[in-house]
Amino acid sequence: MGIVYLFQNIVRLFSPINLITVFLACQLGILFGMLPGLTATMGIALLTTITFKWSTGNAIMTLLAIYVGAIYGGSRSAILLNIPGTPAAAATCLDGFPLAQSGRGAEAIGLATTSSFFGSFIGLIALSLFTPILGSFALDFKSFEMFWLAVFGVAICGNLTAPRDPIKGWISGILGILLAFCGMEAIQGHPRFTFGVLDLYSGFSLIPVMVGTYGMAEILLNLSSGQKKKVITEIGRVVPQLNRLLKHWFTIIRSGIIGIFIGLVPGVGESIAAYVSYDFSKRASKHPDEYGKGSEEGLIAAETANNACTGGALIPVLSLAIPGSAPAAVLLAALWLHNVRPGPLIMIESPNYIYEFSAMFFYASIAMLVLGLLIVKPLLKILQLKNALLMPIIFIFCIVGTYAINGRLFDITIMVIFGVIGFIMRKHDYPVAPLVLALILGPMVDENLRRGLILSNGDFLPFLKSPISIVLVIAIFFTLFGRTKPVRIALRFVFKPVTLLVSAVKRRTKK
Amino acid sequence: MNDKNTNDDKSNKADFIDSIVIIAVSLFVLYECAVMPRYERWGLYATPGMPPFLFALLLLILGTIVFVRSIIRKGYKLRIGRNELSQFAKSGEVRRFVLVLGLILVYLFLLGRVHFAILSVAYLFLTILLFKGATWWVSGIVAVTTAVAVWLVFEIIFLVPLP
Repeated sequence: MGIVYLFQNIVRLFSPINLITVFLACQLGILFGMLPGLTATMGIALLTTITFKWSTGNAIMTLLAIYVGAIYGGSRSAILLNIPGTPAAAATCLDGFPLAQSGRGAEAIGLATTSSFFGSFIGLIALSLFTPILGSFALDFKSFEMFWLAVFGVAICGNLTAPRDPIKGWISGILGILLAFCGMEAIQGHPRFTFGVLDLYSGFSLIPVMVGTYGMAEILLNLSSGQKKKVITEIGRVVPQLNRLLKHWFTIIRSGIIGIFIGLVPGVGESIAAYVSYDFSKRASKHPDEYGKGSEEGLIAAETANNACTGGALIPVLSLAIPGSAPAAVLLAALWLHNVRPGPLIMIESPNYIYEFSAMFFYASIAMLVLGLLIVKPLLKILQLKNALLMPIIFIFCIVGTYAINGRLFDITIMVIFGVIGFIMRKHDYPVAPLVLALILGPMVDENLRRGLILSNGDFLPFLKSPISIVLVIAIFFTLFGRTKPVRIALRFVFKPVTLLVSAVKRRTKK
Repeated sequence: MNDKNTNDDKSNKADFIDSIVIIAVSLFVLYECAVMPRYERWGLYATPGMPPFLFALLLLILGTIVFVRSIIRKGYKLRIGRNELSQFAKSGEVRRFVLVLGLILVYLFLLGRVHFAILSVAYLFLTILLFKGATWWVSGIVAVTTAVAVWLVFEIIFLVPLP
């Protein structure tokens, strides 16, 4: 029945005014996502003030289109410049940028666009059909499970971004967690590692650190190396061939499902969805050695998951009034401003709203696909600009994006300091992605570990009791030690009867 | 083959220095955690220093692993003499790095003291020109259009405050 209601709302919302609104808002969202420092959260927050006096339907449609556009838009700068426009696109850099460097920038953007659309579409189905059911699953994540989830995020990211030397990835992740501990902590209100600096009481903001480690570090690397770019003579096909996409159908579906489930968990967000999906895809791939060097499969996995996560993150917004990610939190505030009351009672008070909201999400996804595939070639001209011309311009955008969040010059200083740290880390083969991700997940680790211990009177056993915790602990163990020889031998030994059985069945069927 | 060996050698030396920095950082964090107030009525497990203590301990272990590994691979054989230092200072990459960082630091120092658009025009013009991104007149046009466009769009249209 849900599909019928969704279809009815899609037809009802079809009007030239709505289409123009969605396309303009989505393009604006793509620009917000593309520019380093300007995020989906900021885009929605800025437009909430502008759309405040609009009708509820138009305002929410605009904000939703900005959200979808911005999460997708981050992939543009990730692919073209190796600078993720939003944290959600950090995993896209891993394979998107190598693809662009090898002269396949248009193809990479085409693949990112179509997989983002498929991700959004899977998210849409989940949003419209599973909102009441899946909403309750997210409530099962309590302090113990949230702690393990955060640790899993950092471990997996460390593994992925430093495949040759995972220790360096984990060091970067732990440094990020330690940085997240700076500032006033949430339980006793004690200022940690602030050294009397008042600006540090609120801790390190994510945007200055992210723009610094990615944007500033990229500027320092490019301008100091003095190397000239390879001239790309062939731009190539933007719209990906259907058989190429069909080849990765399983990766798309799996990444979509991962994105939805991670979106469901409050506070986790699109960046971790992209990394987890990337890891699953790498482990299942026939060509894992291509990951990080320009793998189409890796790019598809990251982009499908972060866009599916937008749909997933909106499920707890509508069904529980709990945001699944930072931009979803701002969207929730905007819904309240426009007198829409999300929460467990939404299915009783306004049962049609979920389908109306899903129909808006559908139009936003269509706008993203069309705009994403149409405006590619002009953007690729960016790659042909000299570094010495492009990098100073990017620096100005980094300054604006960093300052606009809190209006503090201190944030710009932090951005420059982290730029130098990011430069040194890259020169010494330490990945910066785990540091940024850990800065997001650090407060989650801190609060949930201590809250959990307070609830259990210092007993660590409840951290290992629930089925979700057990699954997460096993996942962390295999992420950290899965590739070591003793574990591989033990696994082979455990699964020997199964492999023998499978080969016996295969032999029998051949006969 | 020789190139690979030189790179490995450089990487081992870098690992040796990095691991010392990592161990020093983790020891400093451990000390800071130890002197933090404990709020014992909440239980020792809830003290603000407990999570950073655990993660600093993990960092110390990982730093020690990198340190031992670099020693086994002879990364401790550093040569820091006058020749090496002058060679380092003379390299083009170091000079370019100092120049780009110097320009950024001057920009940062003047930010908030000089109008954003004027300062940005000066920064863009100088950086593009010094790094040979374009001829002087193209640098000028790019600098003026970029700075003015950013100022107009953000401060005037979106009402976003600029430094």
